[in-house]
Amino acid sequence: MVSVRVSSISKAFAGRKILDDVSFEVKDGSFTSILGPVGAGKTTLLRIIAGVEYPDKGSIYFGDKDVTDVPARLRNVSMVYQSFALYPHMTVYENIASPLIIKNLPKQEIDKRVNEVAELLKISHLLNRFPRELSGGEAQRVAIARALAKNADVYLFDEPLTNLDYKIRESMRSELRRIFEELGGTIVYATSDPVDTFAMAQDVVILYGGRVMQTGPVEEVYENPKNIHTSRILARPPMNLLEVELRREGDKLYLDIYGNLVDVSHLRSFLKEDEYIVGIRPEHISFVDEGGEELIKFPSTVIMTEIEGSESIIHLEWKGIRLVMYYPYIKRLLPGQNVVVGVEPNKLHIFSKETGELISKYGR
Amino acid sequence: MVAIKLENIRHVYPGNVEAVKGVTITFEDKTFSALLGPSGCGKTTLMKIIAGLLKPTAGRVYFDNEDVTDLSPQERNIAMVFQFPVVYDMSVYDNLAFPLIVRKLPKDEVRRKVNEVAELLELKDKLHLHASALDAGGRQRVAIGRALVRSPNAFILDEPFTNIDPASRLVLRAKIKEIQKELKQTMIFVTHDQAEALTLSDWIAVMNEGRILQYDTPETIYDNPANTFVAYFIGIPAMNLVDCSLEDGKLISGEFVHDVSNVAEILRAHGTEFILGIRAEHLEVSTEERPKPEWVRMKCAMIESLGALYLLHLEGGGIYLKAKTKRMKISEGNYVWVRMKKEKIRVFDKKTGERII
Repeated sequence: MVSVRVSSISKAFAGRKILDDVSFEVKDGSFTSILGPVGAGKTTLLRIIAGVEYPDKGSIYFGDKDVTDVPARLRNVSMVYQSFALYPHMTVYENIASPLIIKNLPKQEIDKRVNEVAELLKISHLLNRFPRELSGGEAQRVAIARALAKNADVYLFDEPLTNLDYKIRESMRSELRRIFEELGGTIVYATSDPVDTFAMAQDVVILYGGRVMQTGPVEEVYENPKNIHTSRILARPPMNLLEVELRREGDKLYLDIYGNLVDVSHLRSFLKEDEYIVGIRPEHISFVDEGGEELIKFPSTVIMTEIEGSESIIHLEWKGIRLVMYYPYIKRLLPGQNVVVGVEPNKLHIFSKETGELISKYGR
Repeated sequence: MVAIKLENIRHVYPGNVEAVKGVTITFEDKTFSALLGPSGCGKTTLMKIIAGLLKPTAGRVYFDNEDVTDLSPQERNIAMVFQFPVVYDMSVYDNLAFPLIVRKLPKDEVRRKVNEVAELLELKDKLHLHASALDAGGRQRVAIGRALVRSPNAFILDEPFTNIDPASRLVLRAKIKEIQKELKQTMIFVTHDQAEALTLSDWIAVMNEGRILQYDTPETIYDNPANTFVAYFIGIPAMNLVDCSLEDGKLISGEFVHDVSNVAEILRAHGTEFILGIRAEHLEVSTEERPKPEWVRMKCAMIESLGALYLLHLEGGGIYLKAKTKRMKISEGNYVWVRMKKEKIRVFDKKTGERII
């Protein structure tokens, strides 16, 4: 096990910047997720850590050692890809053993190691089969077992669950965590699905447009998004963002959310601009009565209800603006139906319209 | 539009592989149904049999009351939309007009129909563009439009959203739902994705190992799964399924004891051993010391964050449960108190897996 430090890495392909001054640290023995949308630069970053890609600028450290110029085969890293290739002419046993055979380990040790990881991944009963005799989920387990067999310092995962169907993803998420808790090792896990990050990782690196937006423990970053990108990337579904104006009336300050006035006088010292972006988490929106509680209300029309597993993501339109609401049970509202939803004023996030940086959260 | 009726359909592929093992089902006229199941369950075979691309080994296919088992796909007039959008190498307009020109419709009627469909699918400003230049979502719209202009008897959509990026997928799903409601088409769409089935359709047929296990509304399938497979397959996470036994009118599972004397008779007809099912969101969890006598102490073995919610993996009394809760102050290894919402408990036959209550 070893810590990984990525220091000021930049990389461009054909003049297009893929990574731009990327720095972060992965703690020794931690499970760190690199989370970002498609095209954020995740795969390139993993390839640079693995040593199969060379950065234009910057350095990679394993522990205190600068490995930037160390070739991939001498770095002792192991990588699992989104589309995993097993050797079709080899049995599962031989597939898992292949990286150990290359290392010239004694036969006895190979046997011990293969059986260990097979046990861990619950594929001991598959060792004599050929890849064509495996289901998609089983094949991915074998690919992961092969990566783990190597006893690497650092394990790199590039969206390993993307191509699996949802029932297998569901069980793999809790299993991968169990496996790494037993095995130990420094894990860097790239994904575009925040569900993976929430379920498995301790720390997260938010990558957007080739730049690091925020790093830290997952819970902390989720609770305190520094900017609009993090607020949308580490969230499920993404935070609603509405452009609003600041109104000054006498000595009072109001956010004008399309006619809903929210008193923000107490934030006077932070609010100097005329326009802001208000962020509302979909899970903070709830169904409300027409009654008089102190809620910001949105009488909306349903566009569509998406049922995700056991939860509902309800897409609404209000004054021509799209709002997304998260409901923790199954509720099918029909398109065109009218509903009144609302949010507590102290649940608002306020971001700078110019920089996208967070200015105030929960009215503080 | 027609009702599609399947009667005792069996299909055996060469090599004696029985893909469909006796399916009887009626997809009513003007309804939107999903055919949902894991890969290899036989849903694609069944879809091909409905479309007429495959003749079943046994059984009959009816459109309304007409036996169409021996009719070709053309004679059945079924519109099909596939996973990979099929567009012809011509303009969007010509793509949409093609099925009508083949049928030798007068030119102004072709124009009228194409415009109607283009309007519906929001393709009006794209009619002059080359179809292959559109993104996947746009091409799938063209494929759907081409199916629509022919006024088919029914629509079959085979995983139509799989290869479309998430943003346009949402828009397209909403569009299809709107079209189905507006034009009252009989639509069957085939999918392995339960989220998609629950999102879109009014009826879901859950299929596994060549059989239809349940055909009902999404709500019923979710709340009252016909058997343990449906309970596992529908919902994320799967319904908790744990062993339980019946003793003196009480259902005992780990340290949970529920009085079921009102239904004990029904249960006893099936023996004394059962499987209790309860959804993760129907467990209540408290960090307070035994809020009420019937609450049970369990250890929180793992916390899986779902973002807005937590999924707690709980163990105790020899059983393992997953509970969905609001974000709370808790650490792995802590003990919590748990209650099952009694009205949400389902009981399955241990041998057959069929739901009893």
